[in-house]
Amino acid sequence: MHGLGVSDRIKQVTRGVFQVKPGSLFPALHRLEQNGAIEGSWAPSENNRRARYYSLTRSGRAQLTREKRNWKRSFTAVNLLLETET
Amino acid sequence: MQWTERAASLFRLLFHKQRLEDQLDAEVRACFDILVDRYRAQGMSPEEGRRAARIEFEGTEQIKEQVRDARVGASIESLLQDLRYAVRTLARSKGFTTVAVLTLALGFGVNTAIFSVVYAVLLRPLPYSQPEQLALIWSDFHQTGASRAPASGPILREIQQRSRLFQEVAGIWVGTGTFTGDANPEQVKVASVTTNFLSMLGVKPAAGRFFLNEEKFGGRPAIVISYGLWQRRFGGDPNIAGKGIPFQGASVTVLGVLPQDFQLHFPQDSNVPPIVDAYVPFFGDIARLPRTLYYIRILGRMKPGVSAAQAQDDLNSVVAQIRAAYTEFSAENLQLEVAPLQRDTTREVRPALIALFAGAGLVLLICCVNAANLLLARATGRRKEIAVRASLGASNGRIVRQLLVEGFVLCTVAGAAGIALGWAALKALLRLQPDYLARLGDVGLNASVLAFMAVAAILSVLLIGLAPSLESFKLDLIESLRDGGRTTQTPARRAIRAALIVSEVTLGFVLVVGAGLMLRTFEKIQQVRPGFEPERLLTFEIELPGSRYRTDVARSQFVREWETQLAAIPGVESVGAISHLPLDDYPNWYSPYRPEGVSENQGAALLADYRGVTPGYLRAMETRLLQGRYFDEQDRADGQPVIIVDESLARATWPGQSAIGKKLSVEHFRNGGFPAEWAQVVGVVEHIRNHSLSKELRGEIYIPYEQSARTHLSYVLRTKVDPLSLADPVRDLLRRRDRDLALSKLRPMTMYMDRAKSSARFTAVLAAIFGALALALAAIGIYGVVHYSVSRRTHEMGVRMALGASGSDVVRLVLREGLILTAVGMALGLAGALAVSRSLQGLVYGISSIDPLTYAAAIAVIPAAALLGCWRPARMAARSNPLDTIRNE
Repeated sequence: MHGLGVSDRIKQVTRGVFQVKPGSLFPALHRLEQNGAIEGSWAPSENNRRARYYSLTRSGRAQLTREKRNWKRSFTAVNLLLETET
Repeated sequence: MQWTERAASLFRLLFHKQRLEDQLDAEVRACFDILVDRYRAQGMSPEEGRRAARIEFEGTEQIKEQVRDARVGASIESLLQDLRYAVRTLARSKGFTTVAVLTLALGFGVNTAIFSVVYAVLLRPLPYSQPEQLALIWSDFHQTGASRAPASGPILREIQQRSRLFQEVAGIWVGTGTFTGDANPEQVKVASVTTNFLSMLGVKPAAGRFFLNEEKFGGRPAIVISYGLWQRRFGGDPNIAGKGIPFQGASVTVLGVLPQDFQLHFPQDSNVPPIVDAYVPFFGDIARLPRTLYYIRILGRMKPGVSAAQAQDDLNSVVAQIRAAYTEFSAENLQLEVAPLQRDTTREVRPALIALFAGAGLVLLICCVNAANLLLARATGRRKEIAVRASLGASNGRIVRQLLVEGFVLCTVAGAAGIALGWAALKALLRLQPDYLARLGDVGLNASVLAFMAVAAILSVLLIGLAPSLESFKLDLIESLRDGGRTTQTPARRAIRAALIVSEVTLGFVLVVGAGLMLRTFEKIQQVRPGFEPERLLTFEIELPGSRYRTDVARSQFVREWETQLAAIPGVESVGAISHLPLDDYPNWYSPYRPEGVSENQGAALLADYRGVTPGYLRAMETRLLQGRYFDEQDRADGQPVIIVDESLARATWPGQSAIGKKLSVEHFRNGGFPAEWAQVVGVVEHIRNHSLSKELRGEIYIPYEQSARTHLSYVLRTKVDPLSLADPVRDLLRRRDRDLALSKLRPMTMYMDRAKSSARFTAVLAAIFGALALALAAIGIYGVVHYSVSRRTHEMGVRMALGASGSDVVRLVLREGLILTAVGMALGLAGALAVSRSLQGLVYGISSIDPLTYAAAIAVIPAAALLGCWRPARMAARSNPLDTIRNE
């Protein structure tokens, strides 16, 4: 998926709640790539333009699983907290 | 986070930067194009599509910049970039860079020099083991108000026995002695010490050993000599230890040699000089000497971890016990004062050095302000450049950093130049040889000085970079891009520059006042009459060894005969001798005296300087006789005991009466002891400044030499010719008279005067340099600001003149701007100078620390400097041609 594709996908999945502008997108992608979570390669895109496509690496996938678990735990905890509040 | 990945990224960044950049560019462009394609697919024209994409992107360059910032090592990379850029821009504007670097180098140089001195004198630990444990123990006699007095042998013993917090205490007294034998006799300083003195300091002998307990009280004649004497007199003989050498007419055994760099670091008023060539144990049991024979300086070593305050508490209880045990001490209300050695050694020079250090700091501040001003002026001129950089994606922080980096480059270059400059200045300073800088043999650049300069430089960078940075935040891009050339000054910008000028004038005013006060003080000290006429006066010292000139009669006879022979040398007008020469560092002779009708207990409260003088002395010195007569031939050993007193003692003892014919009980030196005898006042003379030109410490009592024949003598020869031209005849004469007598310190009296003035001169010269620098820098600063504002306003000036303003109107306009700022700065400076005047009180002599003349001079000279600074810019404005300026538009 190329950069713009990523931001389209986020917008679509979250039904427009999260919109990632290029100014945030590119630095984020580069940080992930530096850390070895994703890797990029050049490939032709729609309309035959050369774009940079990103995919998760193995360590990226592991990291994602870890982060998802973390998120769920925190998310559940916060929800529990909020429910007891009311 | 995988560090291997990150390291690889950093590697790519540093070594394959171009490829990274190309990729980034391609990627962002591709994305942009895809976006455009989408908009076109929605039915927009290519033009509209690109516009919409640009809006969504919010600037491709900014995005790239953000990506660059996200890279590993981005900060290093961009810092290097900033550095390269700074060096390039600074190299391009050579004039600006030269002026800024020179200004800063001046400030750094001054501070390097002064801090080197401050460090060497005040901060560097004394070269003894655990120097922080060493403390002097002074006697204070509250009854007499005499503080910082030496102690007697019995007091030393009592402290040793009763103190709980001192590991040990030692005593020292420095006199003179003569090495005799085959070579020329040589008179040197000799310290009588307790046997533990040298080992307590914790220095290691260069050869042999120091004293053992067995050498106590001259039990075995033994001597420890200095490295200098060892080299000079004994050719560095490696087997010197254990040899017998002739000293004071007897043979003593050399135990050891002191290390090469060994010095005694004692305060000036202890009469313990830094270089002492020979050390001998006290002769006889000092604990059995009279309890009130005060001459021993006590140095103690506190136990580890004991503070000076705790040691003081300890001694307070010791001294209470001593007072309870001996009536002499309770009558005098003896107190003991603990003074940590290092602080006490530097107590007299500290105020002057701190004042000079502060002065140097102010100079550096002014230099920084000037440099900041220059940078600010340039930053304003560079607004277009900065605006371009901002629109190309540089953040505010990045631009500020760029300015700071420029300041850093400036300060680094200036710092290096400044340290070189300071080193040269230091060499020149040391040539002024202020007396007190005894330790200055080893002043120089060292790690501490360099570290201090680094801190100063970093603070300067912040100060210098800050002003222009403040201004760059207020940048209006569009405005700056449109007419980067000519802009009017915004109020905010003018305020910053005005504040800089005002602070410069304020600091300059304080410095000029300080310099004025020090110069006036030096002038007053120059004019002081020391109580004698120092010109055409040759002096030298001799010591009559007790082994050969055992009796008072023998000494008196020698002195009388030799005086006659000296007087016969062609070119000599008159001759005299005194036991303790004024302004010399020989241990003082001062003791109590008692007028008639005053009880003995009260009498202990009155102290005077005692001097044994030959009849010719006061005449040869041209000390003025105010009443009565000088001593003459009738005042012999067997004659009636007589004295001459100085005016201050006469006034204090017999206010409103004539002193002539009055009697005093005074200490005499007879047959090796110090008995008190009644003596009649036959004359009153002017006060002689024995210790310092600026201080009148005590009254003075003169006793005829034959009635107190001390073994140490200083001769004075009033000459008709250059005093030093008589040095050889005097030496020849002494050699013929007694081959084993040595004379030392053969020098004109003016040398003593110079030395007494040296610290005031040192302070005055430095303060004057600081003041002059401050004035010049302030003038340059004002010039810079006014010049800049005039050049920005040539258009306005042209219009004014086109509308009929005359040249002098324009000049007045410009001058007014400079002078208003100067006036504000002076008002603040006046307040500042008055505020610090209190702390300068101890440094001035003969004038008030708010000396009107000094303040008047400062008030006159600062505006003059300001006018000088405004003058050229004003002329430039007046000459601006209306047609030219309007055509330029």
